[in-house]
Amino acid sequence: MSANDRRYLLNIRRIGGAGNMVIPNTDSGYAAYAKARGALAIPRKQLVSIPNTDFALHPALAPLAAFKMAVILNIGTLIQPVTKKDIAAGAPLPAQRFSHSDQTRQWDLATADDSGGAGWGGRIADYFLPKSKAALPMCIGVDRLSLFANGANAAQYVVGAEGAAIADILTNPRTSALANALLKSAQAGPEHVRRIGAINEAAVKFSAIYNKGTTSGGPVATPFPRDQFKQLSELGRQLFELAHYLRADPFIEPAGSRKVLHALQGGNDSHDTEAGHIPSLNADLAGNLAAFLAEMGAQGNLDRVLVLVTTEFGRSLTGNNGLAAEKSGSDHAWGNNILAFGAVKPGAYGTPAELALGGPMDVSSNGLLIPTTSVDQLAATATRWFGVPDADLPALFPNLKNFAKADLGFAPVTPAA
Amino acid sequence: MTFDAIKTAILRHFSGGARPLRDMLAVTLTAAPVAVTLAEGPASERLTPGQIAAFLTAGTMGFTAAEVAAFTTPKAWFETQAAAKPTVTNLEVKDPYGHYPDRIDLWYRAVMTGPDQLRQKVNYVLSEIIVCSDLIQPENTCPLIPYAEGTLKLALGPFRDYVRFISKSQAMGFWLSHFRNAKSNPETGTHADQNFARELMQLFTIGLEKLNPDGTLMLDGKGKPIPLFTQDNVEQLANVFTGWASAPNWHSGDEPFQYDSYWSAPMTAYERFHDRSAKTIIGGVKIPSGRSAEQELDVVLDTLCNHPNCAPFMSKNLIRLMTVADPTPAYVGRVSAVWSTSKGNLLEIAKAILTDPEALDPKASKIKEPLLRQIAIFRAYNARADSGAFIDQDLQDRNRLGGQIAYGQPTVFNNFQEGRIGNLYNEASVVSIANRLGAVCQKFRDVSGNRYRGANGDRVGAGDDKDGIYIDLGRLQGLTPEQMVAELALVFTGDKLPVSDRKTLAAAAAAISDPAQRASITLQTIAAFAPQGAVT
Repeated sequence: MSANDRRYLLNIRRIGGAGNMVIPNTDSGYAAYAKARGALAIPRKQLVSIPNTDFALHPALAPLAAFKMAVILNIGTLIQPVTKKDIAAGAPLPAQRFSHSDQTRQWDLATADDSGGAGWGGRIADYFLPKSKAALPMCIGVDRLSLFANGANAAQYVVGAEGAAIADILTNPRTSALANALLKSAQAGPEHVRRIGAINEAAVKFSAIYNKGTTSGGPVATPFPRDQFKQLSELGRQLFELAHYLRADPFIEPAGSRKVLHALQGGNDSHDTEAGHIPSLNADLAGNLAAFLAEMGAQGNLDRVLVLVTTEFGRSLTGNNGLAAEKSGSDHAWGNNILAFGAVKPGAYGTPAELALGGPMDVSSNGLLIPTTSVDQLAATATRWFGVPDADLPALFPNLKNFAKADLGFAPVTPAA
Repeated sequence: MTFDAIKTAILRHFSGGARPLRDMLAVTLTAAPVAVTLAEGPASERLTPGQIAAFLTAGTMGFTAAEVAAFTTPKAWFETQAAAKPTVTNLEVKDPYGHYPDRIDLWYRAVMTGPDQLRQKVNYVLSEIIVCSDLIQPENTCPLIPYAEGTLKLALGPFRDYVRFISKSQAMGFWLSHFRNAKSNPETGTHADQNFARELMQLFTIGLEKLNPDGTLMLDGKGKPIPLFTQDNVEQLANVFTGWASAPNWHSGDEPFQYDSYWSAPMTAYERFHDRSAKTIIGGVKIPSGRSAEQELDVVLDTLCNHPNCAPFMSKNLIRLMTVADPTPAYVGRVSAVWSTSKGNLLEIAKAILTDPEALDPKASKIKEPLLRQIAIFRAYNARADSGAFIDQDLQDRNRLGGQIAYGQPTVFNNFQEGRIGNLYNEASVVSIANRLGAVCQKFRDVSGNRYRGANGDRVGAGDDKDGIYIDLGRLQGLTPEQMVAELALVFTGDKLPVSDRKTLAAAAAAISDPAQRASITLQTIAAFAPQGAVT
């Protein structure tokens, strides 16, 4: 394995079911979209074409058009492929479809029936854990924990957006005697106190490693979008700090390093004022992700990072407020189009949805679309790229066997640069 | 400790060799529970100082060592608490261009100064179940001022009144978008917004799946959970929540269904915009056509608050957030029974939760929330700013980005999402303690910078601004190192810091020569770093 074979998987979760990322851009495709979405449709002339595909980006995502991009079409939570007829006949379906929290969990587990047991990023970390020589846990996030990164055995590590903190509480002469005495006391305590003591100690140790590494790696070179007070957005804080970490990874981890990174963007649950919320959320994503990808280019990491922009469900095609167009939004649905960047082969992957209300793919009359690709397949594609052999995929993704293809093809498994 | 050792020591969440932390944090009672006697008499006969501290940790937002000493019996304490008036300003928030106090400062002010600590704790916990966040609010989030105060007034009363209030509140209307929700329109192909309708059932009252009275899942013949409602039930319930908007007032006159800014008042229903067709909601309950929105809301409240799931679902949620991370079905069953007999009286339910033998068992445990650890320190040592503020902007920013803020959750699922595979908060927040250790300590100005005020009134460490929150070290500085360690162990670890280790800690504290530094560092390490203080 070459010293440069470092691979990083980044899952950017748009919390709340972000619709409107990818829109059909052929005459017939757009006409069906416009008819189904009504007042919520984005005018075609505003769309930003995605090269070599029949699809376009929402206008506020325009900054991403400068980067290599893959579109994964009509993906969602599935136990097995189903048609409307199968559903009527009682085919197995994910529990509690259209419940936000359940669909979130199913995306995080990449098993729609909970059979995976832990988050799929965490399961990858569990897989590598026995042979790992890493100094820090494989799963790293900023500010917030993630069920996606929650393994059965592997720890997830979360740093503050200004880096890790209190690395010196056990060594600083002013605090060390008290802090060490407290840890020692905990070691003789009941098991849960012992564990928390071990975690506190680990956190301090990881903080020291993290801070030393990021000092060696140096600052992020690419400017990220800032507001009038020069502050980063919530998503920006996370992507900025993850970019900071990726500079440091070669100073912290041995050759062949693998990291599963995650970042979250809240606020996408556009039950109302879709026209107001979505452009600014898309602009937040596009500006910060474009900066992150440019920074990856500057670091020479663009082909070492696979970025998935995921979200838990699509939006109902019909809107929910006939009274005031500016207030109109849409509700929880099922299949959705998502994006991938970095180590991708550009193009559109999977089977597009048919956007007819009450049509063959709509389980209601409001455009709740049956997915044609499962989250399991997305996860397996990324996991193969990460270096897990085919033979080990079924154990990680128990329902994968129900789908025709394990690998969707958007992340070619070639030796990394 | 090596990383390998850590890897095997921590975070075996859901399967595998070691017992899940969730199990370890839970209490397994081998003997039959003995009812707690709430008779009069000296507290020493029933509750130890450590038990009193644990009781007050669960039942208040924070307390002082003096309050532990003054505690007599749970019964007397509940009587005092039931009589305490809600700490509210009754501020009329109605002017769209008015300047209102910062809602977070108002909340901290109530928490810090209010004698109604049980009421505030119950309301805080309910705000984590029935989430209404400032993430989507107009007018600089000021609708949350009447929301927080309105719910506080109802936090020890009937649950149905509480749910009625939040359903009609404008803040909730904005957060879950049923404010000015229009009825379905077949001509334009639009439907009623389902956001509030779904969460009212799924999160706020009954959950998703049928429960037994002890909170365990009811299973069908194939061993599968039984869903409580369908998507069609959600869509029909959504039609009930159409036509609601702010009441007419000086600003909008009689023009109905306008966006308005009279945030103190509940929403009014405008029948012209309300879907008056017949509806079938959960459990096949039929609402005939032609009913007013208010009449329909009554049917919905009766249906949900009297639903057999409501008592076990809400009881278990409240227990988990107040006393024990993973209560036994027997504990849930006892509280759930009180819920049913008291018809959802939140005071009686809080008493049942806090005095249950499982809650008072010294092994009872749950991980403390970062925000509550911060407030525990603030309340124990009188944190204030010279300006009179109870929170400063810097702490607000740190709380929000690094952890928690009241009524500022990132999603309707609270800060800690619970999944069927386990409780992410209970288990993964162990990592959170590690990871948030930084955030928690930063909240007190970590170990190298301080915001403390010494006994002589001087600021300790680097901080020096009149708007900043400072913790008063005066009391601690007056104690010997031994007394200081004993007091901090009582207040922040429920006296669980072993007595045998306190000598070492006192010696370490005594070795810090500057008295204010000694007090601040001993406070920080025991309150924020001690593993015994991370759990109740």
